[in-house]
Order: sequence, then C-alpha cells, then structure tokens
Amino acid sequence: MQISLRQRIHFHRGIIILLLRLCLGGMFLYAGIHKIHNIAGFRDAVANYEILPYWIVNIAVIIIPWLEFLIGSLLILGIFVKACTMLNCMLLMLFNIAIGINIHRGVEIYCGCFSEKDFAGVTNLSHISLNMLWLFIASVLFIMERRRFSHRFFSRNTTQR
Amino acid sequence: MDATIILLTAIVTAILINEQRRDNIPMLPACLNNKFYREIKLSTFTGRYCGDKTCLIFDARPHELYKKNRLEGSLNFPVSQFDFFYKLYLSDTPRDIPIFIYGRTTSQAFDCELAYRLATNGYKNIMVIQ
Repeated sequence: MQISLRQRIHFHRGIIILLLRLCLGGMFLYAGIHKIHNIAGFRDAVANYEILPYWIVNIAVIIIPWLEFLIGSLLILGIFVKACTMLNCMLLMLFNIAIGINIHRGVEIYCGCFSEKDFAGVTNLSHISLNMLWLFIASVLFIMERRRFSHRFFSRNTTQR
Repeated sequence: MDATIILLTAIVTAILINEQRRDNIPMLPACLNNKFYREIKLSTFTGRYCGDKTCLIFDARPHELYKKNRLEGSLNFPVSQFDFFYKLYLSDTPRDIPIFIYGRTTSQAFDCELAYRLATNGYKNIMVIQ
C-alpha cells in the first residue's frame, strides 16, 4: 500500500498543527492556572499597569485567567481551534499594547504574566518579544487549521470550514 | 459564534467560581458605594473646611507616590498597611473628627478604599478630595 504525496503532506501538516496547538494551549493553560491560583497578585499587577479604570479592574482580573484557562484547554483538546487562536491573538495583542504603553511611559512594573517577580518595564523587553513569538505561532495556527475541530470524533457531524 | 460561546463560558465560569472562593474578589470595589463619605473637588478644597476643629488630611497612596508629590499638611496613610497606620494616627482620635482623604490613580481608588475602611471603623465625617 503506497502513501500518496498528498496524504504525506496532510500527515505532516497535522503533526505541525498538533505541536503548535499543544505549545500554545499549554502556555495559556499554565498562565491561566498561575493567575487563578494567585488572583490577588494578578489584581495588583493589572492595577499597576494604570490603563483600565479602577471600577473595571476587578472584572478583568476575574475573567482573564479563566478565559486563558479555557482557551488553553480547548486548544489542547482541539475544540473550537479557529476561535481559540483568534481569541489568543486578540489577548496577546492586548497584553503587548499594555506592556508597550508602560515601556513608553518608562515605568517599571510587574508583568503579571507568569511570575510576580518579572518586570515588564523598560529594562526588560523579553516579555514583549516572547508575546510576539506566541502571536506568530497563533497566527500560523489560525492560517493552517481550517477545521473547527481537530479530531474526527468532534467533527463527525459538522461541515469543514 | 464559537468565540462568543468561549467568551460567555469563560465569563460565567469565572463569576461562579469567584463567588465560591474564600479569597474572592468583588466584581465592583465595595468603596464605590459613596454613602459613607462626601466628595469635594480639589480646586475647592481649602483649610477652611477644618473650621476651628482639628482635621486630618490623609494621602492614601503608597509611600513612593506620596514622596513624589503631596498636598501640604497631608499625612501618608497607605491603605495597604491600614492596621499599622490606623494605630499610628487614629488610636486616640474622636470618631467625629473631619478626615480628608485623597489619592486616586487611573486604576486604583486608594482614597475611597481608605474612606470605606475608616467608615467601617466608625468614622462619620469623611470627605474624599477629587
């Protein structure tokens, strides 16, 4: 039984998508769990950014970690992959804008990304470059993954996009 | 459509689990209820508010911000160290002493948090300078 070139390309494409999904999903899942676990620290970090009005900070702090957790889990499971990568890109862009504003202001603040000890100010540009890398991965995944669900089990009764 | 489902699920999950947590965060800051303090504008604030009585002016921001700029005669009362500064400044003061509080940034309402905590400790004459 010979495997056609088309099937081989399809197989490799599937492996790449799986790896990207696991990387991106794992990162978001970890970030979400970390923030849920230390919600008070995350609240302080968001407030220190001085971007959101004070009456909206708590709402954002409650919702963002669970959104990250959900996106991460769904990406790993391969459910709603397109929508997840889209939300992923939006979140990463928002984070980059927030960090960028504080770099522009020249303020040293805690990033609140993974560890409370990470500075995201002028002396540390690694967060913004790392976010750009994740944004690139999410964009590649968004372009490569054409299906709503990555597994046949989920996509049995749905049409391909 | 899928993105909306994910967003709504995240919002509902976040709210439900936050309600169950011991260290939950209120959706809106408790201090937003301004029944327990009056607001006055910084432009209209002068010493005459104190009248003949002694009054206290508190800057509720962290010490680093207080060092940068402050109102004349104000005392630094960082709300994050409430217990320590409460004992320092207010241990022997009557509950009806006029207290003026200021210190609001874009994302942090230190002033109304301090006003709220002082009001829960029985202080009745609290004014927040905005």
